Amino acid sequence: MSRSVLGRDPFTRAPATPAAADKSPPAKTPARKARKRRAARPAVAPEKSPPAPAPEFAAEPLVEKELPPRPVDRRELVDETEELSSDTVGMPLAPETIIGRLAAWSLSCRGLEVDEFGFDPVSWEKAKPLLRWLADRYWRIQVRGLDHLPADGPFLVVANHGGVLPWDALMLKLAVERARGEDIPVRFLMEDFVFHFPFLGPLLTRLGGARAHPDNARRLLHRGAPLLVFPEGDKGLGKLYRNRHQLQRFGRGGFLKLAIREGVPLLPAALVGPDEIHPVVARLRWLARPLGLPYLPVTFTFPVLGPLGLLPLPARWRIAFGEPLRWERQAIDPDDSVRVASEAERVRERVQQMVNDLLDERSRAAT
Amino acid sequence: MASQEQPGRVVALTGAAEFLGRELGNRLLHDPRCRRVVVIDVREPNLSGAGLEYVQLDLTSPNAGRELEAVFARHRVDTLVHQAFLSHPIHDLDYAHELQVIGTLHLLHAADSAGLRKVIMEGSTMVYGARPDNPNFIREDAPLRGVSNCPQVADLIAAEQALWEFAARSPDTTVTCLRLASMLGQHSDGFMIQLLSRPLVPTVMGFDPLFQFVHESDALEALWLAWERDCPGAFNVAGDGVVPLSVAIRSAGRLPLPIPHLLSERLGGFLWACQLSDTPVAFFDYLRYLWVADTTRARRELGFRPRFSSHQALQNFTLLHRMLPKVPSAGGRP
Repeated sequence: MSRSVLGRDPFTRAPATPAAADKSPPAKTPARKARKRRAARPAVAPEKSPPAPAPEFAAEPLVEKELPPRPVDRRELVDETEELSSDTVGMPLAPETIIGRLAAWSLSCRGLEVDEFGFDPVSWEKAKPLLRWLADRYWRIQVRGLDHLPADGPFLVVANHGGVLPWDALMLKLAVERARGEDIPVRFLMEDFVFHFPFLGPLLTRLGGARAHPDNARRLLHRGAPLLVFPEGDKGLGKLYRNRHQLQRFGRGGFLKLAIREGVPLLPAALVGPDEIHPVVARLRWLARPLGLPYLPVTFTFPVLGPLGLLPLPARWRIAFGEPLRWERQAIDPDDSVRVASEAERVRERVQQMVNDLLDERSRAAT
Repeated sequence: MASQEQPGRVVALTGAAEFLGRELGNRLLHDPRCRRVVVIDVREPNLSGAGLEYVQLDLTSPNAGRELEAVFARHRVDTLVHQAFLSHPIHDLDYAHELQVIGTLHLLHAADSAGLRKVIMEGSTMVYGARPDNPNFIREDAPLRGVSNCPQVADLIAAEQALWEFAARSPDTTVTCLRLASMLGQHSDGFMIQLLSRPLVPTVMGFDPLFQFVHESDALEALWLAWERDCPGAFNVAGDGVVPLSVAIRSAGRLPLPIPHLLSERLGGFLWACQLSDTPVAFFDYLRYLWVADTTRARRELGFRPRFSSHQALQNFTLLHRMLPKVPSAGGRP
């Protein structure tokens, strides 16, 4: 597509010949060379196309002149960026050339097309080896109750939260996708604290997160995606080490209203281990306010060792999925907040019970 | 000159100097359903046709209201397409306010006394505001919150509120507002176009909101649908899908210049005041939080089918834009 565009456009400068491409700054790395070769190969094509007549902009509707819409693949665009930047500027070390090259390079490690919530399958593929290593080797996750996962259709997984950084969401996503296949990626909801956290929020968005909002949840379920929710929110994420494995309040039962309204099954899930990867001994509020955070967690390692302290500890994890729960729309009114709150409390007790069972199992295995 | 028996509509058009207005005028002049196009502008439009009437009128002049009334009555205008809005933020806030808010009020007052059949206004999805508690897709019934301390967006909101007050006053008039997402295209100008045409684009460090673009030809198509069909209310107009800001910047061959959000007020304000950046301080919220609009209503009621997704609009724009010689912009003033 881009070749023909280059040829047809009346404003095209002299097409880049392989010789011109060779004049660009000396490239040392093999990757850079490989890219250059790709860029140089088809560069003769524009010479063959006939010169187009000068356009008259206002005289006719512009729609006919537009390019045919067609998704451009990543490789093609990277080539394009390099070719154009060396082409238009002409000077190998001009700032625009360097900026164009840097931009192309920084795009090469991620996908260009994201879905409507910002999930980038390329980034997820890149992150998967690390996540797999963490799951199998580092945290040695054992999963129970995978047969409770529905074979098809959307469903809601309600799990306990813990571990300062939402590693549990990624691990749970990995576990569900391993069991069910990846044709419909599993999505998870993030509390505002995480979603608006610099760098972390955009990264998790690329890996399949979305901001916890009823509209977003409904849309994701309508796309048929299994959805992970952590109703404890940031209260659960940053709970103190002495409160580990104690579930916090379950928000206002929004997850339950969602399950009732959409008629999707709700799977309770329990995780043991995330609470132990970052043992929080204190939460500082006075230091957090100027940084725009709800609190600043203090762990044995975190502020003391600087960024190194953000590395999680290798606790052993266990994950259990419970039997799906369903509510009939006739039996319970989603707008009856008293009823919903008491049902949500029952779900919380169920998850707490599952956590306790996992803890018992673990202590039996240890003795 | 215009006799009453002649069939066809008479359309008054503002903002015909910009791409959308010009192309809409062009189409209307070639449409048999439209008898006359009255272009209201300070500059002569780049249009020609049998039914063209050009009225030189400055919407910011104090007596614009009276003159507009006379124009509407003289030409028996029955449809108003109002697009005289700034395509991107300018430094002259007073002029922006006079043109966008007071100019709209003048037009709507004249429309009141002329008893129009239809009023179409061009809006922007910026009026929803980039807020931390926005859902990923904002529907038309969401409140118009804008962003705090931002006179540029407050003007757009005030203009739209004036429009809805007018709609409530005159039930016989079909009032449509098209809220356009960031428009990209070869012939247009806009905030995102300006942003992507500098080698370094200021962003908020650690934030990467999803952006939505509409190609100029799709925006034109939506405008045309609004003229053809009677669909009262507000409609979000955008291409399908979203593009992360970081991808948009890089695939345009630019690099982000991340500014920590604690500094963005000072540094961003300084850059804006020195005219080194195209981003007013309050606009940094638009580079930090989500403000993606839901286009379901436009698809269902208006029949809007964008040819370009957000991603394709961006591809198209960056490929064409970087090959064209840099033309000095016509300026924000239509």
